[in-house]
Amino acid sequence: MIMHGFLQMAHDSWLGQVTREYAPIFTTGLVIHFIGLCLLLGAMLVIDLRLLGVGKQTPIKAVLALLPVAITGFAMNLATGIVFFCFDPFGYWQNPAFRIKMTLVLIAGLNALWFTFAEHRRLAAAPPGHSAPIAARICAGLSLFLWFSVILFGRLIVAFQGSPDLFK
Amino acid sequence: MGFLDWLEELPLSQWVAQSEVGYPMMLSIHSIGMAAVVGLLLMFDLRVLGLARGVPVSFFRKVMPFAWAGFFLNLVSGVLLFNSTAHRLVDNWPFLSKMVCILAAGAVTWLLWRAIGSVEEAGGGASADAQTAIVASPVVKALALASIILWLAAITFGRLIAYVMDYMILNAK
Repeated sequence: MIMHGFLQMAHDSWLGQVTREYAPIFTTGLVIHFIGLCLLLGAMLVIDLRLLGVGKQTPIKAVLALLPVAITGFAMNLATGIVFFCFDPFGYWQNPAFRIKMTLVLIAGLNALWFTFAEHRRLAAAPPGHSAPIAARICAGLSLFLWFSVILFGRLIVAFQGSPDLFK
Repeated sequence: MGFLDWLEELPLSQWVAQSEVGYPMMLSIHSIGMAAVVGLLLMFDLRVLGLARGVPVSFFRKVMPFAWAGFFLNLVSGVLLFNSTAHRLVDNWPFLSKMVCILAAGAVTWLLWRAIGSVEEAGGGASADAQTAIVASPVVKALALASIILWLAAITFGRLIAYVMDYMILNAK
């Protein structure tokens, strides 16, 4: 009941109304969403590949300078994602691909937070040639797996809209 | 139009066009490949333009195989997507614009690496000074900026393909 109220609120919001009325908003939002995902994944690939052992002569601190790019990409996708959601909140909420995608984003976010608080400072101080500890490597591998899975399930949202019984 | 008919009638094209999983699977692979190739090339361009200066240009040589892997995924999934809808793509203006942008972006990236490679050979490119000199060149910076614009244009045109097509395959059923 609380969920229904929230979905109704999102549906009736100014953002929802305007997005349903002017089709170019959704189209433009998707272009931004795709550019944002390239920024997020590009930065995460550079950072996580270094943590996994590619190009060890590069200080870990140097690749961490790309974190603001990842955050920018994420912010672009969060903002456009809210626009898409308000377009059809009930449709998204019922879509299994959307639910899996949001769960994966949440886990990827927690993984990134854990990395920031547990590993970031120690790794930023590491000299060139330094290998990341096993915990940071697992974190990096998980990060790449999760973000690429987010893309996969994001793409499948449309497939489930097209035919709801697709993978049942 | 005989060749396009032949492409669309290939068993693999039929599978992509008509099976429940073929089309979404190809689109998913295409997005994952895009994230790898465009994502990494954008990071390289941003580095050349002055972001994350502590990362040596040589580091990007080591991650380029992952960009190539993404490109290969997109070449294969892109060809299969094209074959399954050849007639509707061959005169689709966003599709043709996307192809031009990708060819141009590829050429610009090649020129960018070539410019960097020639400086590296001339003066022992591994040193920090040489690396700074490489990316300080206005020509190299202009190439990086052109690369960013062309990749973003390719993504934009790619998004518009479906809107200009008569109808989406999934909705046709």
